[in-house]
Amino acid sequence: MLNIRGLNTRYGQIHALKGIDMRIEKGEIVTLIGSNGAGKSTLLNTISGIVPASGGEILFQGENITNMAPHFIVKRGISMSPEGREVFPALTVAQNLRLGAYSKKAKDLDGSYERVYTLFPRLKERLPQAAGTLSGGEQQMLAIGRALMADPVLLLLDEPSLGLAPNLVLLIFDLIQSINDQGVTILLIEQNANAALSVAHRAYVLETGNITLDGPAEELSQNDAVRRAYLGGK
Amino acid sequence: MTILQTGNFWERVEMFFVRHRLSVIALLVLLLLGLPLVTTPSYVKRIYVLIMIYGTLALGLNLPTGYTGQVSLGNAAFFAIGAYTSALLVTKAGFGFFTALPFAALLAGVAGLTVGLPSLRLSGSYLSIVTLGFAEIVRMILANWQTVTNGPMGVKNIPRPFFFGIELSLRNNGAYYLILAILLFTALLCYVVVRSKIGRAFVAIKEDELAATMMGIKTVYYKVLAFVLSAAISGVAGAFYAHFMRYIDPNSFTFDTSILILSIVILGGMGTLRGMYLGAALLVSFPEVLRFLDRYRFVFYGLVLVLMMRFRPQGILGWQSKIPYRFPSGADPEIIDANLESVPFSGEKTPLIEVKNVVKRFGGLAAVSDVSFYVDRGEIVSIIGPNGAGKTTIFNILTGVYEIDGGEILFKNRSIHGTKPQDIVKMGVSRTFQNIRLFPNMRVIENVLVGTHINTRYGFFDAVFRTEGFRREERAKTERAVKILKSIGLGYRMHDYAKNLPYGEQRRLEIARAIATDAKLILLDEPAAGMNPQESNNLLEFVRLLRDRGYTILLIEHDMNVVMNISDRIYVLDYGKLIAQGLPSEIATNSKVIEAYLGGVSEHAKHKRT
Amino acid sequence: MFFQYVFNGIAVGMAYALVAVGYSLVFGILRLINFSHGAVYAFGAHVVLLFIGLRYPIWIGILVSIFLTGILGVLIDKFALAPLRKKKSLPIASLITTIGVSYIIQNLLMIFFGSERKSFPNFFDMGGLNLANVPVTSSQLFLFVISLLLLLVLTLIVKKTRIGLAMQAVEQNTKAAHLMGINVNFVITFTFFLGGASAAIAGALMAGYYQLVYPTMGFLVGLKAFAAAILGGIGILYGSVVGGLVVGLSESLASGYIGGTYRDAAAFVILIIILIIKPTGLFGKKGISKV
Repeated sequence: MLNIRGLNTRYGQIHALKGIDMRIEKGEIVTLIGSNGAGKSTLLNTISGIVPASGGEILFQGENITNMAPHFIVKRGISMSPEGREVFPALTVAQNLRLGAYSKKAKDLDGSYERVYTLFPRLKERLPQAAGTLSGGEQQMLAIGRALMADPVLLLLDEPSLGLAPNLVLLIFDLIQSINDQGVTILLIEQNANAALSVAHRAYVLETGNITLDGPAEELSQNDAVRRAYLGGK
Repeated sequence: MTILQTGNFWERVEMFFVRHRLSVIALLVLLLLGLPLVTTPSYVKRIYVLIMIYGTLALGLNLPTGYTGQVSLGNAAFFAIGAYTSALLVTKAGFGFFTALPFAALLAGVAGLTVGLPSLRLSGSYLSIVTLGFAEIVRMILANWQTVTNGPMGVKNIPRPFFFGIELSLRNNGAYYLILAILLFTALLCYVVVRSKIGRAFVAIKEDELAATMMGIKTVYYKVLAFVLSAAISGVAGAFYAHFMRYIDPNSFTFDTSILILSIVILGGMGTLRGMYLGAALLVSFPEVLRFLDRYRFVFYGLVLVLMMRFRPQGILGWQSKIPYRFPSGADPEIIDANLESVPFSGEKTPLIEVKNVVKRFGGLAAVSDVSFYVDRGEIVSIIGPNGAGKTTIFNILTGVYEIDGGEILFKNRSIHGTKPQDIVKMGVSRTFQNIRLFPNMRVIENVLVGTHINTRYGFFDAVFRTEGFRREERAKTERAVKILKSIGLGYRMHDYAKNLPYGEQRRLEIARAIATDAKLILLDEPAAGMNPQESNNLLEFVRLLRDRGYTILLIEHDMNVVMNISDRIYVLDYGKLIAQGLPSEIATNSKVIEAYLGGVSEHAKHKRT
Repeated sequence: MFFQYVFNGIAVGMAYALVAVGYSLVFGILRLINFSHGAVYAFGAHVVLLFIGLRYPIWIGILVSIFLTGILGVLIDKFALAPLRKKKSLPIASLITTIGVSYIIQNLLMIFFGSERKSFPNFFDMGGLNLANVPVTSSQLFLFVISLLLLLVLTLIVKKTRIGLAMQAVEQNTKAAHLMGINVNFVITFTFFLGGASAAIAGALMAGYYQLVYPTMGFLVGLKAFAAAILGGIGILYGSVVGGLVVGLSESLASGYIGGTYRDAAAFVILIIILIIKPTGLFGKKGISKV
């Protein structure tokens, strides 16, 4: 479904992605692990068109979407829940959700709302509340719910467990599983590598802009180097 | 140097100029001295004089706008104040030009201080509008205060300056030589100010005001200083202008004048001295040379601003010099070793910093709640925890960026609650940033020299008069900067611009800059982020070396390899609270830590999938 | 006399508010003080003047001017500012660019229309009114009502429409707005159009009120409206209205009781005092800078 070939991204003098090759099949959860600064978020931002690629190509369902404007990429079915949640703080929960489906007409959204409310009943209770006043966990749900409003084929999740209490982390990972069960393909970035590897089908390891390892999640979670570097194992 | 073979044409020209700068300057001055003698048409001489007046004004505006990054849209006001002060003192109070001149500079400077002191706390664009508003107010006062300024009629018949009984006119070239002297004096003043810690502070403020604050630079003081100097210089130019034109009125000093000065600075190259002369020569002579375009003159100024910002924001002569940094005389970087000197340290384990029950809230949410920890002298202590747990917030609290809502922080047993960031640096706490905040358009060595600013002990007048103390300090600090750079492995990068360094080296440069403040406690915010294993290993070695030299280190880091290997003790933060503390071996096996940070949901999730 | 000053101040203040909203809209989205806005306002008034000169009814002139001035706003963004955003230039570059643009517009107006003051019909003067002995003129009432209506329309656009929602989203978080599938560049274009169009209306109204048009007419009004926007808290629409009223009233009272020549100074004195005491304005909130 998504096929990345030789992708390069630079920020000024900093070469953040140095020739990434990656592929995601329909229905998969793929996770990307790596330390801070390895380029994980840059990769997601390049896929969603926020950061321009300086080389290589990104094919989505056979179409080259490299350096396409972000709003066209959303229309093609890729949505992202960004790192740090990035909800619109002064807008209500309802307005945030509406914006998630910005490219669609208001009258076609009943199904999308229903789906989000089923996954996140808490959001339905908070519709008229300003998003900035939500708790961290609720904001994370809003960020994911908002991304789902566009009815994406591929969902990019950047650090969904960031800054959440352990019981909420658990909940979020359950939800990721449920969303995937509904047929949404997911690319997940997580610093909580254990949790990520436990829900993912396959995984890639990113180090200073290069993919250094990839394989089935199960296999990688047994890999000694991975355990030492990311899983806190000995 | 290799530049002579490899550089492009302009770089080679620049290299030639720098190498032979004394001869080149002498030659230029001689040329300027001889110029009026070979020029006969008086209107051409008049253009020369106007160019030099505007050159002086541009040099003045360049200090706040080009170097310090504060765009002033009201320098015509200081120009006017200088002109009116001198004109009125001479015509109404019987002063001579040369006795009135200091008052013109003084009054313009005081005006600069009055408008600058309150408004320079504002962010850039607001300041621009305030200066513009101020200039309009000045013009309205000049037009309305009939009894003193003669209102819209202006001041007429202003006498020419007399120098030992000789009337300095355009005809006898006296006016030309006077403004040449003023221009050269201004240029020299700007040169000595810029090539000192003052100039480095100016540029650091422009590049990254917060990082400059964190290096202990009193940003408001330096912004006001640049502004006052600019005002005083404009005042001197104004005084000359009044006695040269012999007639002034409020409409000689409009917004158009401010824009013309700004256009000169931008066309020539903000933050360069050379650009001011070229900018003034081009823009002042332009309407004279291309008279047929007269009506479009102001449209042209507008286009200059727009097109320059789009295609060459650094100005015509604003390239970044590729020739090596010039060290102060007596400082030889070659002979300096990489052996970092030790911080005096008795070896006794006593707390250097103690944090007691600190609380920090944003809105209603507690980002840090009831956190206590301490770091002993000579220790390496790490704070770990998931992203968003409040680690960087703690750094911002320790360095005075945020005020705390509860608790107490003791550094060397003294409370630093409510202390300004600059004073905390002075006490000996320095930091690096998670998202690198260097001064990208300054050289590597200059970045480190900005770090030494806080403990460089000379004042404005030492810099202007190049006193012995100034030269000794500059030499000593430069040598120290070189030593720090060599010790951290950046000795070979000294001359490069910070923005051209690869990521790992930028992180190291930030550490070098922090050390240069003579800090005892160094806060490192994810120093290994984005480094490859080789680089992070080298960093590890260096942090150990720092500890061995008596520095105390507080570290935020995600790379477990680094944390477990280097830390004497570790604190674990989650959700703004401390959940564990202890030796690395204890932390690695602590069940709470594994659950919160290293991934406690794994068992649960695995269970679900199968 | 006092009431005359007050009503004059309120009427003119509402027109300032209309110009101030233009600063506020652009500042909200780009964090940029669009210095060229005053010149755009003058341009709007001159387009109407041109159509009056061609003997068209004034409402045609105003409609065309709304459209053309809106387009001018868009062109300024497309040709001068958008390239800078793309290059990620420093904020100072955009500020200087808008100063340059204002200069170009103002001086081109001088070249094509002449720099002198030209008379402009008061197209909404229906004589004096006398409501319960309060000396309001019909011009004042008209200026007030029309400005108020337009401000309401602008508020409705921002608060109640889909594009308005997108404007708020871009204002709060541009990156997230991209991710929502919002065409951020179009939203910016639209904002500049709104700013230009509202400046054109304000230009025509003020030209009619003072019965004068001249190329530099936008310079002082622009600064005063900017002062109004800052006063209320730039980026906040109702703040601009309050700011406009304060500036309008204070200059009207200053000219009445201190002397007409100091009228223009009033706005600047207020601006400087406000910026020094509360730089975020009356209704502005302080943001937490992220380190």
